[in-house]
Formats: sequence, structure tokens, C-alpha cells
Amino acid sequence: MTVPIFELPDELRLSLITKQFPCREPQIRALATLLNPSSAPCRNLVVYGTEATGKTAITTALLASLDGDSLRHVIVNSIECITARHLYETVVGKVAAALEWEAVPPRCESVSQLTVSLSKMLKYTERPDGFRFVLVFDGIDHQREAPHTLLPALARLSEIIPNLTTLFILTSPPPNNLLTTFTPHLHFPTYTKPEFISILSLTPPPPITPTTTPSETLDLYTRFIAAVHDSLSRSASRTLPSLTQACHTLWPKFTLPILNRTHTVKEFTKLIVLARVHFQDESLLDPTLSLSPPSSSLTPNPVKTTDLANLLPTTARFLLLSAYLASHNPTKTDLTLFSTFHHGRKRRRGGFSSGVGGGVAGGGRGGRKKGSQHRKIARKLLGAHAFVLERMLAIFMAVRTEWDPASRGRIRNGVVEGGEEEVDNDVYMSIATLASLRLLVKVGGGGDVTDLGGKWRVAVGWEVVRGLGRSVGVEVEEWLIE
Amino acid sequence: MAPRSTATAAAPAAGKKRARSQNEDEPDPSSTTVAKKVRVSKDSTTTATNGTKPRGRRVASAPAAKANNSDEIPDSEEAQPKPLTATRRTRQPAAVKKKSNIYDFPASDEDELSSAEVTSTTTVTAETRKTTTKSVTSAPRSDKENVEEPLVETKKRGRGRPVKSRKQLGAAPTTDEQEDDDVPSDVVPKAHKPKAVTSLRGGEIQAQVPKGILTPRKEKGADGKRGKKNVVFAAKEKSDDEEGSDEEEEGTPTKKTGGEHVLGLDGEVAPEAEDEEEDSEEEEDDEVCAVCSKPDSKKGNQILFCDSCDMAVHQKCYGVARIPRGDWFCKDCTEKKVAGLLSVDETAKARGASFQEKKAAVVAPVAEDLPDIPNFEQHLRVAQRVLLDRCSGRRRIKLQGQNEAYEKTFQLVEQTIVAGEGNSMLVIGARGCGKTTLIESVISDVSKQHKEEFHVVRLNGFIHTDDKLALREIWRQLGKEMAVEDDLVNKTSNYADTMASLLALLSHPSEIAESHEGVTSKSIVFVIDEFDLFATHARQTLLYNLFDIAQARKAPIAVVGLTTRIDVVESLEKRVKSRFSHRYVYLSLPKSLPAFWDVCKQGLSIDEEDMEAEGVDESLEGHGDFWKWWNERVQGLYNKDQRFKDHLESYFATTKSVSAFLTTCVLPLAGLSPTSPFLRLPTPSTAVSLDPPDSKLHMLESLSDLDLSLLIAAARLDIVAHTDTVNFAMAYDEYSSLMSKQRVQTASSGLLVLGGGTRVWGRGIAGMAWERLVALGLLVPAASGGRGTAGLSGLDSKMWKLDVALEEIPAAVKLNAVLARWCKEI
Repeated sequence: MTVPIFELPDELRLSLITKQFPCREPQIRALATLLNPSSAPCRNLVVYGTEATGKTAITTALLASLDGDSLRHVIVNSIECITARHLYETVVGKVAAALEWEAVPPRCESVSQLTVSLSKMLKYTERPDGFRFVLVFDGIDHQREAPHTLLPALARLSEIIPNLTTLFILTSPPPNNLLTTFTPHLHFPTYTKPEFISILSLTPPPPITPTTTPSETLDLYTRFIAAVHDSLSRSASRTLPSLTQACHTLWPKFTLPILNRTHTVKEFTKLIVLARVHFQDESLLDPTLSLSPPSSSLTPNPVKTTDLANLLPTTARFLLLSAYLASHNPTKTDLTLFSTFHHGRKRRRGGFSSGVGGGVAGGGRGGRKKGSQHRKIARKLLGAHAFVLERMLAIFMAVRTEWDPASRGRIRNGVVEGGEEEVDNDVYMSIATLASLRLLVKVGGGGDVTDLGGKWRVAVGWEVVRGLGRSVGVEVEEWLIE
Repeated sequence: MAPRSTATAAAPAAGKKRARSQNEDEPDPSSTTVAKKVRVSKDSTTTATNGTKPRGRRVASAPAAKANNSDEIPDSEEAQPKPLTATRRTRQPAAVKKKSNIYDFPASDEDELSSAEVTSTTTVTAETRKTTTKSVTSAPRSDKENVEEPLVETKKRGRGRPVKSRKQLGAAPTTDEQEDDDVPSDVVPKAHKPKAVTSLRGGEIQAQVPKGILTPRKEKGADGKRGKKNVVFAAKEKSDDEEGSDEEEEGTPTKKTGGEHVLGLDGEVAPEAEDEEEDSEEEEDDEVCAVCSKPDSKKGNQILFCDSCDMAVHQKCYGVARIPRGDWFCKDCTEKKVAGLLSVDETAKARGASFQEKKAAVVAPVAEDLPDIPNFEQHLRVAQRVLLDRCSGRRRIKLQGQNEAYEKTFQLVEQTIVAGEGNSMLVIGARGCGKTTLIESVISDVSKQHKEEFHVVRLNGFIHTDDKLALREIWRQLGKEMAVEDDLVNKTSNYADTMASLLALLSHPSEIAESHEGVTSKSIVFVIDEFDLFATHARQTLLYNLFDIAQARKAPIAVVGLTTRIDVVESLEKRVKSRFSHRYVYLSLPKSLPAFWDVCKQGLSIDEEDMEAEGVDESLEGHGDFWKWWNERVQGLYNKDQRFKDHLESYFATTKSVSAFLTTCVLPLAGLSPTSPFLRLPTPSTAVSLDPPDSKLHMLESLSDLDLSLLIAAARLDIVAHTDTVNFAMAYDEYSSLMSKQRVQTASSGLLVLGGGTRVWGRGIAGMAWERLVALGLLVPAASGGRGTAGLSGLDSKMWKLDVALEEIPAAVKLNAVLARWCKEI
């Protein structure tokens, strides 16, 4: 018996891939060595790194180039598989397709069956000497409904089937997540600034004007990339796609003075100064939001919120405001805030709320001594608390007279009682409306909407509520404790 | 002695430092004091250089001045640059106060600056004319030095330097450069114009130049002038003299030189191949390649100079396919740099040694001859094949030092097969200690004698997650086809029948008369991997039945459970436990380093007796010689190579995992070639490591400043507000308050933090950053379900727990000064 001879992966193929994916040569070489059947194929391999570092792309390209008689591969993307069972069946289906296996097993419910199916195709079938099959699980850490033994079990596949290499692509492998003795881990680090520049400058834009030479353009472009990287990418969004996106968006604006013949290609500094405004534009990094004005949080779209204020009827607006107050004020302050028992006048605590602005308050507290107590977190920041419906209605009743001139007029005329009755029907209607719009959310489920003991939470943010309040002439800030 | 050489040497080095520090935009407060100190010493250097009166208070820095030997230049390179840049960095912001952004420098400054620079080619303004006259005084001096220099220094140094400084320049590739380069003596006086302007009148202006890639560079021509760093220092010396020795004043020239570097260095991006090209052309007349000793330097095969030891080599002779941007180091220096060993002596030595080394490829050690063995390549390839298979776990390695356990297991299995006993046993040991190896080698050894007399059924707790699956698997492995068994399962829909059939199958024919005679005469060895997981199955039915059969001698079966849990018996039910034979085999990890090495060695060499088993062709000529040589080399690694031994020891000390160690050998083994068959460990940064990451902290490196700010803000809340959960609103509030504090501070102290350090990002972008932290797993949901179900509470109020602690962050990633302070000051 003679031993097959060790060979390094084919240089030519490798150089093609290294050209295709610049700045990744060590990783590509290591990966090729660990996958190539005649080099040092391993049983399990973990490739990890943060997003957009070329893990999947390089693995795919490399396997495609290695694919042949002695190596077959299949890439299974976990994101495309809804359940673990879906994953197993995808694996079996794809492997069967890759091996041109006719009798595809109809179903595959567990790892055990997966093992059997794979064994049939790979282990019990005669394969040429040195044949390897590479099974790639892309993003397996994001697999939904995965049993907790999924990763260790998949890592055992290669123990059972000798000519199988299992490759896992992960973001960050937890220590010893495969529960095997040892698995090679290949790290794809984030690109550094010179790497970003060299990658992006591989695809320079066409010359700006007919008179500029490509080399001048390239020179300007590389410096431009560096500038974009420094101003936007490193400070806020450090990935290749976002940098590419920002560069593509900024380049026309940046080169506009050259097109207008006011500046030449060599005046990089002046061009930068001219384009300064664009470089500070945050929306570059957030292309989805750039179409609309910047919004505070991601859920309510500002366009919609202005609509919201206009669309909702007055009662619903008041209810929503009351709900927000109920959600964000502690119960014990209700009496102080809303009670009109002693005299018909309001007793609001405007003094409290004047310095609510989060930044200011936080700054003041931060400046305090370390020796002192732990800082208290502004209640507003903790998010909406659940409240009992009855409380919200009480607040609504209390503030309604003050907020709503119409009802105040009624009070003056002594028709308070009748007015309340009248509104009540309206109120439940509005609550139902708000609930169906998901602006008010019932907590805990169950129970009737009209159940006074039911717990609710408001689902709109501070900015929305402030706008809503102003639309009815109420400064909500004045009604918030702290 | 060539005194000026220090200054020149320091200049590129400072540039290096500058280039490195481009990423950190904040002045480091801690470096200020150092900067001051060394500024003094630097000053003394210049004094000594000038040959003018040495001042008494600078005596302390004499050693630095002494270091100006041409031999020791690398040392001064190392020592001096930092202070230079540090000083510049700390002072610079003072001048540029109230600029909140990197791009905010006023246009007027820039104009002034560029006018100062552009003088030589375009308009000569009144100022520059004035300063030209002043600078003339210094010009002859540097001129003279230029002349002296080649006399004093070795030829090589003299040649090497321009390359370095030019390379440091990284200057704009304007075509003017080439013209300038040929006539250095011409250049010098001309170059003084801009320098002098800045040093005498325009120190402030220079200091105002914001650094970073946006720094204005000379747009038109005159690039060549900046190349001569010596000019800078000459001018500086002059101004130094004029300004006297006042500490305060001295800052200016230093600062200025720093500014000069900024100018010269910015835009590292500019293609440098061109520069390099010219450089080599410049040198070509009398500098010879260290490999082939020929002086010619053509395009495509140019002479390169190492930026550390000045070794000159041809691209082709040294195997440099492409001239790299920035600095280029010879392999020797790269390795040393990496190992942090780059000291003066070594560099000097390396220069000598590199002559021998250059012929070998990357991994080749210094001056080792290839063994003269017939069929060397073939032997090497076979060895690589076998060893790589072993290292990557595809060939079993022999069990070492577990003889007792082996004997016990072997006996048990053999008894089952030969005597028809029913046996059960547990093999307990840590991961990677060889449990599977033990049982597999026992089985393979037994099967040598009793090949057809037993079946092996292998189960794994991870794969066969319940008894039903395990039973089906047993069925299948016992020769039943899955299809048949499927029918059975479909028909009965519970596994009682399966179990009954199995029992029937296993039971001795004398007890139950069945038609499976052929099968029952054979023994069955059950190897149950991850045995502890089987104990978690409902009612432990499978274990109960297996143990029952084994104990009751219904059939000759051996149940061998492999587990890592030493208390696994406690998890067995009483009825199961009582049927278990309570025989254990404990495997331990190697107890001493030599024992560990004994095991590891198998991944690196093949014993004589294993040659045949591994399929090595012993009849091939040179077999004995090769393996003798190879084994000696491997043993030599262990005995002599300290780095190898440290590596081995670190694995012994941390995990004792043989396979972990062997995995690190995979890539070095794969990298061997007939021209460089010497196994060496890769240096940490030149090669890819196959180690798993220690923690999530490795991801911090890929975070942007905003991500890090939010992370730190959230981590601070943990301590400041004593809450272990945070939501986005809290973190962003803390972030913006820290940021506003930072702005107030910088404004009041007159410091400006450049480069977006004080840029406050909006909620939208911050929200994206927060989501990225979530996606990377640095934030984990505080309560599953519960609050914020279905994302109704939105991004703001969903609570998260932080997966890193505040004190871990500075250790894991290099922070800029602002963020570092946030971590320190609670």
C-alpha cells in the first residue's frame, strides 16, 4: 500500500481567487490548504469573522474552483432554512443533487436520519481515492429553531463519514461550541484602512473629464476614499459595503467642482473643503432613511407621525396623550398632577419638568462625585410601563377639562355630567381604534378591551407624542414628572 | 561619525510612527511628559550635531546623542520618533481651537499654507523672499553634510537612506519629482524656502494643519523638496539657535517638524511604486544585489532596499513579485519586527546573515544545508501526507501512557466476544484525552483475531437524541435496511415492537426461539459516545434494556459508554444503575510535559514500527536516511528550539489538548517544500492562526467609533447607574451626555479633538450601530419574551444585557483618547 502524495493547492487557481479578493491572501491560502483533498483536508473547520469580511464569498469562490472529480461541495445557507428540519432536508437534497444521486430520501426529520442519508451517499458508495465532500453551513449560528445539540451533532458527521469535511461559517464562535476536541478556526478580520483603500481603488470611476488621465483620477480617488473612510466609515460604520456606498454617493458631489472647471484634479484639499458639507451628511450611511427626513426611532416613520396627528380625532389624541402620561408617570404622583379636589385649579408641577432634556440631565449627573450614590436613570429612558386602563381613563377625565376648551366651556355651563356620559362611548370607541392601530397595546393578552383592570402600554415614542401634543396645544413635557 | 544621520534617520521613523497613528486622532495626555523629556534630548542631539556649545542642562541626554553612530542608527530610529509625533500631536490642537470638525479649518489658513509651499514653483511672495535670505545661512551647512555623509558612512547606508526618506514621503506622484531628484544639491537651497517660512514665521501655521488624510498637500510641483528631511532639521537647528533655549520656544520647531511630516506623509495612499522606481534607478550605479551581486535594476526586477537593515536585493532574486507600498522589509527584519526583537545589534547582524539566508524561502532558517538524501522530495511528500493526516485527525495516533486502561478495555471486549459474556463499562475522561482512540484501537485490535465474530454498534448522544432514534439506528447498523425498518415503525408507530424485535434479536437463542440464529451467534459491542446524554432520555429505557441484557447474559453484548462526566453514574436511575457492572476506566490527560510531547510527537514523526501500517514505502532508496534526518530535526525542535518549546508548553499549560497542538502544526507542515524542508513554527502575525478566539472581544476591533462609544456608554451605565440591563434610549442618552461633556472640556481647555472625535451622531445612525452590536452578539436580550415582545416597544426600550464588561474594552481594542477616558473615568 502506498500513500498518496501530498500536494499544495494549485497556484494558478489560487492566484485567480486572490486577485478577485484582494487583501485576503493568507486566509485564502490557509482555507485552500485545509480544503484541498490532496493537501491537508480537515474534518471540521470554522470560519468566523464579522459581517462583510468575505467569509462566504471566498469560501464559495474557492470551493467552486476546487470542485472536480475529487471534491464536491454543497453550501447550505441557514438563513434560507426556517426550521432545523428544513435545514436537514435542504442538506440532503443539495448533497443528492451535487452527487447526482437519484433516490433522494423523501424526508429527513432528525440529525440521525441526516447522518444515515449522508452515509448512504458518501460512505457506503464507492468513491475514488482521496475523494472529499465539503459541506458548508453558512450562518449556522443564526439557524432558527435549532436544537441545542445541532452544532455538536453536525460536527460529529465528519467523524462518522470519513471523507466529509464540514465547514461552519459563523460570526463569533462561542468557546468550544462544537464540543469536539479541537477544530481549526480561521479568522477573517475586518479590513484595515489601507486594505479598504486598495480594494476600492481596484474599481476606479471613469475619468472625471475627458482631459483628466485615468491615473490622475485614480490618485484623486484613492485619496478621496481615505477621506471618506476617515470621516464616515471609521467613526460610524466600519464595513466595506457602507464605505462603498458612501464613496459612490459622494464621488459625483465631490468631483462637481472639477466638472465645473472651477478646480483641477490636483487640488484635493480644496475639493475636500468644498465637499465638507456632504462628508458630514449622516444619511450617507443610512440609505434607507435618506429618502425621508431623519427620524428618531425606527418604528414610527416621521411622515406617518405627522399624518397621525392630523388623522386621529381629537378624543383619540387626548387618549393617546393620557396613555403616554400613564405609561411614563409613576402612579404615586397622579394625585399631585391631576387632582382637582381642593380647588378647581390645576396643580401641575412645571418646575420639575423644566430640565428633563436627557442630555442635560445626564451631563449634570455624570459630573457628580463618584463617592455618591448610584445615579438614577430617567424614567423616560426606561421605556413605557404598563398601566391599568382605569388609571388612563381617570387621567383622561382629569386633563380633558383642561386640555379641551370645548369641554371646559361645558363645565362652565354646568353640563359636566352629561358631557362625561357623552364622551364615554366615544372613549371606548377611540380606545378600540387606537388598539387596532397598535398605538396602544394590551399587555398580557386576554380579556375584553373595555376591561377596566386590563393592562396596557403605549407604543408610540416621545417625538410622536410631543408632536401630537402640540397639535392639540398641549406641551406634554409639562405633564411629565422628572 | 555622521551626526546628521540621526536626524535623517529619525525623520522617516517619525514618519512611520505618524503613519501608524493615523487612526488615533486624540492627543494622548500621558505621552506629553515623555514628549517633553525627549524633546530635550532631541534638542541636544541637534546641538551635538551642530557642534556648537553644548548646554549644561542637557547633559542628561548625552546617551541619545552618543547613539549617533552610524551603526546604531536603527536604535535612534526606535527611540526618537515617538516623542516627535507626540509633541506635535499634543500641541497642534492648541492652535486650532474651536474647530469641531476635521474639515473645519478655515480656507485662509490653507491658502497661506499652500502659498508657502508653492513658492518654489510659482509665485515668490514677499514673505518667502524675506525668509529665503535667512535660510541661506543654514543651507550651506546641510550642503556640506550632504557631501560628508558618504565619506563617513558605509556605502550602503549612504545609498539606502534616500530610498527611505523618499518612501516615507509617500508623496504625490507628480512628474516634477523626477526632475528634482537628480540634482540634490540644487534642491537643498530651494527647499529651504518653504521650511524657513514655517519655522521662523509660520510655526503656528504649520501647527494648524489638521492631520489625517485631509491634510492639504502641495498641489503643484515642489514635491521633491520635501523629500530631503535633512533640510527640515537644518532649518530647525537654525531657528533653534535663534530662538534660544527657552523650553516654551523649543516646542515650536519640534512642532514644526512634526507638521512637516504631516505634509510629507499624508496621503499614504499615493502610489509609491513610482517613487520606488526612481529610487532604484538612482541607486543602480553602484549598489549591488545581495543575492546575485549584480548592480542592474530594471523595471520589473528592481533593486529593493530593506527599510530596516538596508539590504539590497533584486526583486526576482528575493522573490518579491510586486513592490509593496510603504515600507518594505526583508524577511529577516519582518520576522524580527514581529517578534519585537528588532534591536540594533540584531539588525546589524541580520545584515550579515541575510546574505546566507536570502536563498532559502520563507520558512527556511539561517544557513542550513539541505540533506543529501536520494528521493528527498518523494520522502518529504509522503511524510507530509501521513503527518498531515494525523494532525488533522484523519489517521489515528497511538495511545500513549494509557496501557492499563487499554488492557482493561481490551480484556472486556475480548471476553465478550470469545467467552460470550455480557459486559458493561464506562470510559471516563476529558475531551481530547483519547477515549475514542482507545475504544477504536481496541476494536481494531480485537478484529484482527476475531474478525467475523462480532458487530459494532456506534451511537452518539448528540445525534441520537432520543431512544427511538437510537433504536432505529441500532436496527439499521445491525444490518437491517432503513426502508424495512421504516415499514416496521410505520406499522407499529411506537417503538415497543421495535424494542421487542431487538430484544428477540439480542437474546440468546436458547431463551427465545427465533429465526435469527445467524445473527445471535455473534457478539455485539455497543459503543455509546456521549453516554451522559443517553441518561437524560425519558426513563432511560434504552440503557435499562442494554444493561439488562448485558447483565442477564441473555446475549453476548458489551456496552461501552464514553463520557466526560465523572459523576455520570449518579444520573442513572436506580434500576439502571443496579444493572450496570460499575466497571470504569479513567483516562487522564498527559501529566507532564515530556508525556505530552510523547503524544504530540506522533503528529510530527512516524515511529519505525508504524511505517508499514501507514503505508510508507520502506524499500525506496534513502528511506532510512530521510527518517533519521527528519526525526532528528523534530527532536531538535523540542530540545533546542525555545520558541517551539514555549509553544508546546503553552498548550500543555492551558488545555493539554494534543489535537489543539497538532492543529497548529498543520499549516507549517503543509508549507514545507523540498527547497525548505525545515519545520518551523510560524511567527504569530505572519501566518494565519487556527486557534479559536478566546472570547467575543476579538470583535471589538471591527467596531466603528460610534459602536464603541455606545458600547462603552452602556457599559458605564452598568456601573454608574447600577443597572445590569440597558436599552438604547439609556445608552444613547449616556452617549450624548458624555459627548457634550467632552465638547465642553475640549472647548474650555482649548484642545480640539480632530477627526470626528467630537462628532455626535444622530439617533438614526446610533440606532443602526446599536443594532449592529445586537447582531454581533455583544448585546444579548435581557428577558426572553416578556417585555418588548414582537418588537412593539421598539428599539428604544427593549432591554439588553451587555456581554462585555467596561474594564475589558480598553484591553481588547486600541481606543482613542476620548473613549479611553470614558472607560477610565466613571
